[in-house]
Amino acid sequence: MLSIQNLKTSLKDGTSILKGVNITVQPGEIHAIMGPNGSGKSSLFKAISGHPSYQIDSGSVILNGEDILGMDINNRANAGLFISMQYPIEIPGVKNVDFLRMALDSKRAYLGLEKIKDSEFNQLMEKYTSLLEMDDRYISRGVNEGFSGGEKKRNEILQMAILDPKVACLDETDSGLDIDALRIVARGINEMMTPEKSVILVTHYQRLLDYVKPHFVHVLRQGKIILSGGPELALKLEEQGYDWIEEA
Amino acid sequence: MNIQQKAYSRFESIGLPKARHDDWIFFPNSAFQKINVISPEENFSESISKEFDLGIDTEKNIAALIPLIHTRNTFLKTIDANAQETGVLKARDDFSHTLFHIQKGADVSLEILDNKNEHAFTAERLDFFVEENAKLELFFCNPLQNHSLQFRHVRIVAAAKASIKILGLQENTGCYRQSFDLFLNGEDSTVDFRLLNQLKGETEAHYHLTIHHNAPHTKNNQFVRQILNGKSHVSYDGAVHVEKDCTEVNSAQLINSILLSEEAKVSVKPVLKIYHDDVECTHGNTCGELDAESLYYLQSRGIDAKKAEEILLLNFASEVFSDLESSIGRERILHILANKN
Repeated sequence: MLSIQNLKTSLKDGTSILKGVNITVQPGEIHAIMGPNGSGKSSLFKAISGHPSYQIDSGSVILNGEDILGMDINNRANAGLFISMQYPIEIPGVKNVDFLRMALDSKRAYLGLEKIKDSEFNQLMEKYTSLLEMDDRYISRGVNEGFSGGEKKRNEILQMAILDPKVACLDETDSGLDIDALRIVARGINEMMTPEKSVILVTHYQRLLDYVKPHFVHVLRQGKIILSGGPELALKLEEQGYDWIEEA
Repeated sequence: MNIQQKAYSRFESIGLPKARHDDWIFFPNSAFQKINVISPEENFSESISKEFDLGIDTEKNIAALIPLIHTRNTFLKTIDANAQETGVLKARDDFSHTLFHIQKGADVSLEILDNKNEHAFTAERLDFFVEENAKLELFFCNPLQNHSLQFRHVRIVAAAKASIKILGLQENTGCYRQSFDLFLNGEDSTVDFRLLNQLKGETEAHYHLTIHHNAPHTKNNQFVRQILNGKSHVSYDGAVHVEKDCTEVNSAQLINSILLSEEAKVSVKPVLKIYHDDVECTHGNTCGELDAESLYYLQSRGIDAKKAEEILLLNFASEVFSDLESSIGRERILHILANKN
């Protein structure tokens, strides 16, 4: 379970970004966060994951009973938080497969487990690369090196699947995806969902939500959740935009 | 007049570099106090054939002259035409001179090992005369050593279609200056110069490289990176000279530096002297810290900050050599990097 309470953050220069965000995500739930550009959606994910550009002014982020705001970035991830980036970084020279294994072994070490065995890791890779229809080129190349925008997003979902987080926060995972890739990525997200897991999606469009059905939809504007509802809210936003919320 | 005397005579006429001398502008002047050049008393025991012009009469670099003045004899080696040879070069004395004659079509890979003498001052000179279609790989990747003051001068004369590759991983401590005078005298001859400095403490590492494009269709590529910690200082003075009528010359110089401490320093001076129109010469220089977004990305996948930094530094370092074709030098350096980081 992820509980974000009264989260206020700012940039190092003092610019206020999040102005008191409250969201509670129970196991088995999918939440979608929508909102105009610059409303703080990506900042929310970066702030809770420990991005060094953001400072926490107040509030708490509880992941399965633990306040993760005092943790290092890597330990937040190892405790079960996964952030799929809007713009994944390229790290040429570090093979994707080596990176995935290193990340998984870091998590296993955090949990007091031994490093994963070759056969077990290979099985995982085989399972998820075939699910996401990723060929060997993407595995043997450097992390996101020379990947198209869509390939990078697919690679983010592969990382999520391998790392098996408790809560996955997916930042505009649907941007840059063609119709087939969107379907494949959605398949990966749905595969990951179990009654113990949760997903928070940031998206601008209904199209991803046609494949990944949210239980709740929130509107984030000017650093605050200004409206929450069921899946029908996303349809209304798609039709009418955001202006009606203020008018209402 | 023998070579020792000629070198001494030339040294006397140019003298030690004065403060602000253009070729020594980054070098710590205080280090000159360790240099003591005395008049040679003995002749060379071996003579060097006149076909090997060492350029003494016009030499402006004292680091090219001092080894000739003080060496006891020159180590001369000929690699036969079309032979394949690998080996190591290791100076036994404080001052040494080595001359290789690499004949047509030979393929040679040589590792330069450091002089282990820990005296106040050591200097060596290596001359290579590389004939048509021959390949020469020179590489150095010594483990940590402390050089009070070390000069190394490498002079290579390349004939048509000769291919020269110089690979260096430098992690020594102390104060050293390496100079390279590379003459591309034959058409289609090439130089690929790759250097990685991983330095710390108060190390002073200075490089002075001049590539003379004396023939058409010649190419050089210089790719140099540094990862500097402590108060270390690297200078790279890279000059490219393209002579008249040398058409379609291609020259590229790229220098990237990561400074891990506020007191580390890098000085770069690209020099282009071009006397022909139809050439392509580029140079670029960047200096910064580790990319914060890349560090964050790795950490957000559960990798701790120290390991993430190591991964990015290893990646930065390895890229200097990773795109090269496999060779003894390349594999050795990449192996050292992978096992250290």
